[in-house]
Amino acid sequence: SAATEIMVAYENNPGEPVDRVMTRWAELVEERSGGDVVLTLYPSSQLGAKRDVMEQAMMGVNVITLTDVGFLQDFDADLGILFGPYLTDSPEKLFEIYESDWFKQKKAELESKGVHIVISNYLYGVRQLLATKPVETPADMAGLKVRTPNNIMQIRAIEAMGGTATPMPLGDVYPALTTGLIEGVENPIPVLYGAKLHEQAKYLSMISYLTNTSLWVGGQAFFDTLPDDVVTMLEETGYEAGVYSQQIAAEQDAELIEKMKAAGVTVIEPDVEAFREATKSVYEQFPKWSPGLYETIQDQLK
Amino acid sequence: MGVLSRISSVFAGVALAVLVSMTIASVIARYVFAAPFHWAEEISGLLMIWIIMIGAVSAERDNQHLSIPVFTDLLPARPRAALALVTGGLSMVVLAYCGYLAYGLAMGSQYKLTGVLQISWFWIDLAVPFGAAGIVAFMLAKWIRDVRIVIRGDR
Amino acid sequence: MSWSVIIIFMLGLFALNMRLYVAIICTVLAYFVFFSPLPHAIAVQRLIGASQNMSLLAIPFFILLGTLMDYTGVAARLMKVADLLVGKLTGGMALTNVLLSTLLGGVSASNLADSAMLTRMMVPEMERKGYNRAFAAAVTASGALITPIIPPGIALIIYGLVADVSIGSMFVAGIIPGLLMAGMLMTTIYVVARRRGYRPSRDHWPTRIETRKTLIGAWPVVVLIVSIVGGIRFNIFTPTEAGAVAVAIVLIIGFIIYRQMRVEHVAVALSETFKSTAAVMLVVMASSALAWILSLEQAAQQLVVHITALTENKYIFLLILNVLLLGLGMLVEGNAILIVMVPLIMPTVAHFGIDPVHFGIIVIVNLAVGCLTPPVGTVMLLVSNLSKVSIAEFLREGAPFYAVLVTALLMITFIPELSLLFVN
Ligand code: NA
Ligand code: NA
Repeated sequence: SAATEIMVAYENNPGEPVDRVMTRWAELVEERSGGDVVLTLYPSSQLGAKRDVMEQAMMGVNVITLTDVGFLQDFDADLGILFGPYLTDSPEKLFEIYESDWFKQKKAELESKGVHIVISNYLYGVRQLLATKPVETPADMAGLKVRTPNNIMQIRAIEAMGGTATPMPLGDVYPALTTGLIEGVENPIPVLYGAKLHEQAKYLSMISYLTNTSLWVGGQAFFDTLPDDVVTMLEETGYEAGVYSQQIAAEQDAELIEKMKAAGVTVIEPDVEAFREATKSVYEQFPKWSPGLYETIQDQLK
Repeated sequence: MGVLSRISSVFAGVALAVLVSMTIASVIARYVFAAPFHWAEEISGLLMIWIIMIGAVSAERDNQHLSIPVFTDLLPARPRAALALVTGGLSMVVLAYCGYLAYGLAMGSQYKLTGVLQISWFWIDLAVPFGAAGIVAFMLAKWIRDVRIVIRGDR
Repeated sequence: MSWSVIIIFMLGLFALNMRLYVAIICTVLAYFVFFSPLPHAIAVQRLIGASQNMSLLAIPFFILLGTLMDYTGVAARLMKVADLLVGKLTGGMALTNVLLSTLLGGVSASNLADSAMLTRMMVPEMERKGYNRAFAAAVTASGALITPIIPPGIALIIYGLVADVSIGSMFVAGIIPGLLMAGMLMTTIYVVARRRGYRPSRDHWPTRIETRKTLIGAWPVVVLIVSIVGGIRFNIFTPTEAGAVAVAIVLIIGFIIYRQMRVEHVAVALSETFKSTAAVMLVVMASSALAWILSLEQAAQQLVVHITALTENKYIFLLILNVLLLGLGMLVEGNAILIVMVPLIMPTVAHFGIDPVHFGIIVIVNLAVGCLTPPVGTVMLLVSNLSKVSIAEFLREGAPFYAVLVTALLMITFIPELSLLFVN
């Protein structure tokens, strides 16, 4: 029979960790299915921006994509908390939430709205701050113009630290740093390094404010057309790919910090407690959340 | 038709003026108040698609859309008008179908919101059916004129 | 290879004088109807998606700016200043045009926005001074192609990212090729102007009194130029914002200082701007929907396999690649090609021992020249629309510049030192 082709679309460029993990996943799927299922990779937003690809998936297209907090919040405001600042110290604990009853219920609700989660143990990375001046305390953040993605959770987090959140597309960040239009940018180290931002901003502050887990999702309409054993195979291999993403994130951070140092970047280990304290207020700024959501999550994390 | 083109001109002109003013205001907000408009980009995107689609209606009225007439100009008036009937008819079908598809997208966009203002993509997608309808209206007027040329050989 | 079928279909529709944007959308829909099980609505989604790219916002702003400069008397005074410097030379205004393009290069970071502003500002003035309008349009469009190569052009940055090359090196590498292209264009203009007998606009160099008088009268223009260029170079705003701020300054100059402007002028300028923006943006949007299909069909992968199999000679490889990129550049948006093609072709580039920085400059110059080439050369389309010159006339007048730009491309391709002299 003809092979089942599934497109995998993401905004990151070839060679970045996301691309490497997806390449590994495609190999696993090919091996496990004996070539009956083929994953075709579309990096660099070739199929469109995240929201557009998600819309395509909802229309029944055979595509899987990486979601972000904005997308999840649109479906269910509560899911936004998973991207909250300093939610937990350990990625392991965070991944346990994705196995919890709370999340299983959310997952079922998403499926009824047409979204099928394929990978839920994916680690995009821990988000750090790269700036044109040293940032050791929240006081150093006062008025610092920091680029954020265009979503309200990260804007609020940076503002709570005292920075001036300046949303813009990642592609515009390099020239914006060159001219001083912005003075800092937050992202996992491999993304910062991949965008060559260390050529323009020489201070890396390890504020680790957000452990960025991600979900890979497709449209339920397409998943309903797949045989059960194929769906199970995709989820199993996807889990292995997720484990690989966690390894690669740790390795890459260590390796790229060294490369940044060699390129003249000063690495700062700030007092994270002060930043954590400063961002506590963020959790009170989302009135649409279910009552007691923060406490529910913190109980899960203990 | 006169009313339609007047309304669309005023609408697109105002939208463009708002776009310029908002961009300047956001520069001022960033420097004077250290508080950039996080929402400026989203409003810009929304205005941009409406300016393009409504502007396209005016451009259609004034025959300013881009095309390559090098080959068809070699034909005498009547065959050229006959050909224009065929391509014009196809164009109207294509645009009407685009408008219909975009309307479908708009109606299905309840989970597609902008990041800060949470504006539904409905308002973005909706520009296309509006613009397509206006363009088709002016194309149809031209098409009827071409029919006369083909039948009567008018110039 | 269904994508090659639809491209032939599209060229057929172009030849039948169908509106370019409708022809491209028709082609995209035909793909969905005949070759793909995917929902047709995606065609429209890709159109709309392309309009949400914020760097395109600079286009209406700079069109408006150029139009207002013409109405406010700013353009005329700017020309007077330029006339002091080059008026004695044959074809002086045309030379000024390219010089301005090179100096402003990268200010708007988009060759569409740059060419829009310069067309609105320069072409009417050049016509008043006796230049053929199509010639003026062709000069403006060719000059604007230098923009992406001069730092901090967006294409240099995108290439640096997708090819994993230092963006700083790309910036340095772009300088000599950019100047080379400017120099070659100016030489050609001089030759054409001599042959046509475009006489110098003045018969003697300006006297000191004349110079002082002109400069004093033009001080608002100096303020304007300093605020646009300075505003971007010194950290104050983005190119898009600079466009908006400059519009405000021009309005102040026009209403308060020169008092040549009336409210009706603003209304007319706005209306001309949104019509031209719509005309060119619809083509850009439609062509990015087409680019989506080419991505989906992995057209680039197929092409790369073919061309790498064709030859083992580095120079023939580069030549084939130039032809291919020029061809693609005629049909779809340059940056889309950059993002998809470059990562695929980098292993081959390494295999032939071609320096990735040099290769980047080749690709970017190529795509820039594609902007001037029919059918979907976006700069050509925009400039001929704004200056109301037919595409046939534009091509006739543009032919010598096109030849020169292709020659420059070949020089840049086969003389790596032009790009690499100051790198490292
Ligand atoms: Na330029
Ligand atoms: Na092009």
